[in-house]
Amino acid sequence: MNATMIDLKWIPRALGLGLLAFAIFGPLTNLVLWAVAEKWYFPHALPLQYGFSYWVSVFSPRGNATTSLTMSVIIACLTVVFSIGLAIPAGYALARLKLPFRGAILLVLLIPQAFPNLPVYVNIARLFYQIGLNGTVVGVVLVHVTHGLVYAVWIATAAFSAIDRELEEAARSMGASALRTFRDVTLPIAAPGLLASAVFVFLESLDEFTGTYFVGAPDISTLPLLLYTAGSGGNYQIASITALILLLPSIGFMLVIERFLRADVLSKVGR
Amino acid sequence: MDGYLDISQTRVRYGDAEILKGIDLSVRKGEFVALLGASGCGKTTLLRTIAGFNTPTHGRISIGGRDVTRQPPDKRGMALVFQSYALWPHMTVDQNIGYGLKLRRVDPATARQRVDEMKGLLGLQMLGQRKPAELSGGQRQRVALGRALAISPDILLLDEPLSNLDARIRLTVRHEISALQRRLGITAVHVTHDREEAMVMADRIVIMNGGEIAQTGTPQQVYNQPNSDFVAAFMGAENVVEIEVNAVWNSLEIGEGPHNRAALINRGERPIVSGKAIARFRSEAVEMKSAGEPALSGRNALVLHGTVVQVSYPGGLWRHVVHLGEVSLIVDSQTRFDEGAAVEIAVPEAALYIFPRH
Repeated sequence: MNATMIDLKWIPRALGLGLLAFAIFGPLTNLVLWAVAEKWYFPHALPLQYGFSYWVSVFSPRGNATTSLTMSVIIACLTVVFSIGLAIPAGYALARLKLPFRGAILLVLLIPQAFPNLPVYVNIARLFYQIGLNGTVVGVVLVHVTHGLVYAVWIATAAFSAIDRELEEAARSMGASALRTFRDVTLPIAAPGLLASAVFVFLESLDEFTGTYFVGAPDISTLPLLLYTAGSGGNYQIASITALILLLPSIGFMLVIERFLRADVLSKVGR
Repeated sequence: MDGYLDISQTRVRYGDAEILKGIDLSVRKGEFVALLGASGCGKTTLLRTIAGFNTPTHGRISIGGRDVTRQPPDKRGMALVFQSYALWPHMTVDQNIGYGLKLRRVDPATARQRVDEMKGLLGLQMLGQRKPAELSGGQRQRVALGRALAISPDILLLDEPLSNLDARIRLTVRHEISALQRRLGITAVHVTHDREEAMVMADRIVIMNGGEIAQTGTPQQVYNQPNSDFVAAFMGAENVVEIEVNAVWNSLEIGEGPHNRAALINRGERPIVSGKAIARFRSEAVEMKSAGEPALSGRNALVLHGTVVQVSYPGGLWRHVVHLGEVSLIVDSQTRFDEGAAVEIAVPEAALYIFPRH
C-alpha cells in the first residue's frame, strides 16, 4: 500500500525527465535520421528508405565536404596557433604584472562580442576588401582570432593566476633565470588550462559562420558555410551529415575540457 | 664587520608603508640565525630581501664581501625553503631535488648520485618517483629541504618551514634540521614566530618588532637579559606589575605600593630607572606562599600580595590566576592554593625585569 503511494510520486518527475530528454535528443535523432535517409517526405513519420548514398556523395572527390572540412580544420588550427601565441604572453602579463587598467584590458577583448555581429563583420569585410584580405585564409583566420582571443586570453590569464607565485620564486631561488622559470615551471603547470582554451578556440573557429561568410565567401568554404548552402537549398541530407561532422569534434573536445579545466582555474576566469 | 652575510641600513617599502626601517645584521659563516617576531614584524620581508625577492630602497646586502643588493635571486647562491614548500607539482621528488643541479649543468650521473645522497640524508629513499601530491606534510617538507641542500647553497634561508607540520613531527624535525645544518656547516637564516623553535635551533636570535631589530643575542641572552619591555613580554615574561623605583648606587629601591612591599634589589645589568616603572616576570620564576605564614623577605626580591581566583593543572606545576586589585597575574607553583586564598608572591631579583613606564 505504502510502496505504491511512493511509486506514484515518481510519475510527474519521470514525465518531466522524459520531456527534457525529448527536447535534447529529439532534434539530434532527427538529425541522425536525416543523415541516413534516402527518401523521406510528408506525411510519413519515419524515412521510407535508408542508405548511405548521400554520405558517399558528400565524401566523393566531387563533393565539397572534404575540401570544406580540410579548410575548416586548417583555419581552426591557424586560429588556435595565433590566439594561443598571443594569449600566452598576454595572459601571463595580465596575471602577473601590475598592469594599470588590467580590468579595462580584459573588457576590451570582449568588445567584438558586445556589439551585434553583422555590422561588425560587414565593416571588417569592407576594410579587408580594401587591403585585399577578403576571400583569403589569412582574412578569415584574423576574424576568427578576434573572436577566439577572448576565450584564449581570459582562460590563459586564469590559468596563470592560479599558479602559486612561490612555485616560480622557488625556481628563481634554485638559480633559474626568469625565462627558464617560465619554461620549466610556469608553462607546464599552466598547460592544462592553456590546452582547454585552445580547444575552446578550435571549436569556436569550427562553428563560426557570420564572419567567415562576409570575409571568406565565396572563395573560402568552411563546413558551416556548406551546411548553410545545403540547408537553404533544401538538401537536408547533406546539411545533416555536415552537422554531424561538426558535432563530433565538439563532443570529443568537451570531454577533454571536462578533464583538464580544473575548478581552481575556472574560479579565476575574469578576475 | 667580520660577517659572511652583511646587511646594513636596509630599508624596504611596500607602497606607502615602510616594512623594514633600517636593518643592520651580520651573520658569520656557518652560523644559524633565527629571525623571531610576531606576524607583521617584517621578518619574512627581511628574509625575502636577503633572497632577492624584495629590493631595498636603501642600504646594502653583501655575501662574503660581494655586493648583491641589486642582483636577481638566481645570481645570489642562496636557497630558500618556503613555508608552503613550493614543490613543483608536475615533477617527481627526484626531479624536484635534482632541478638545481640540472640548472648548473651537473652531468646526469653525478646529479643522480647527489639526489640519492640527499634522499638518504632525509629518509626519502623509497619516494623518488612520487609526485608531491602523493606525499605527507612531513615528507614534502623534507623534499623542500633536500631540494635546497642539493645545490650546496652558500646560505640556506628557511621561511617558517615547520609551521605547517603537526606539533609532534615539528619537535623531531627541529632537531633534524639543526643537526643537519651543523653537520654540513651551512650558514642559515631561519624565520619563525615560535619562540621555543628559535631557542632550540638557533645559535643567535634576532628579535624583530615593527620593522626594526629589537634585540640580538644568544638564546640565553635574549631570554635572561631582555633589553626592552617588548622583548621581555615576547620572551614569555607576561606578568606585569606597576611599581615606583629609585636608583641608588648599585641598588634599586622599590617603593611600597598598594599590592607590593618595599624592597631593595641589586641593579645588576639593568638600565638606571627612577620613578614610574613596570616590572615583568615569568609565571614559573616565583615563589608563592599563604599570606598567614611567616612573611617572605623583601631583600633581593619583590613581594606582591593578592588573591587566588582560579586554579588549574596543565601538568607539572599548578597554575593560579592571582588578582592584585585590577591586575591579573598567572603564577605557577609546586603546591596548590585554593580559590579565594590570600597569597604572597616573591619574585627573585634575577627573574625581575624592570623598564621605565611612559
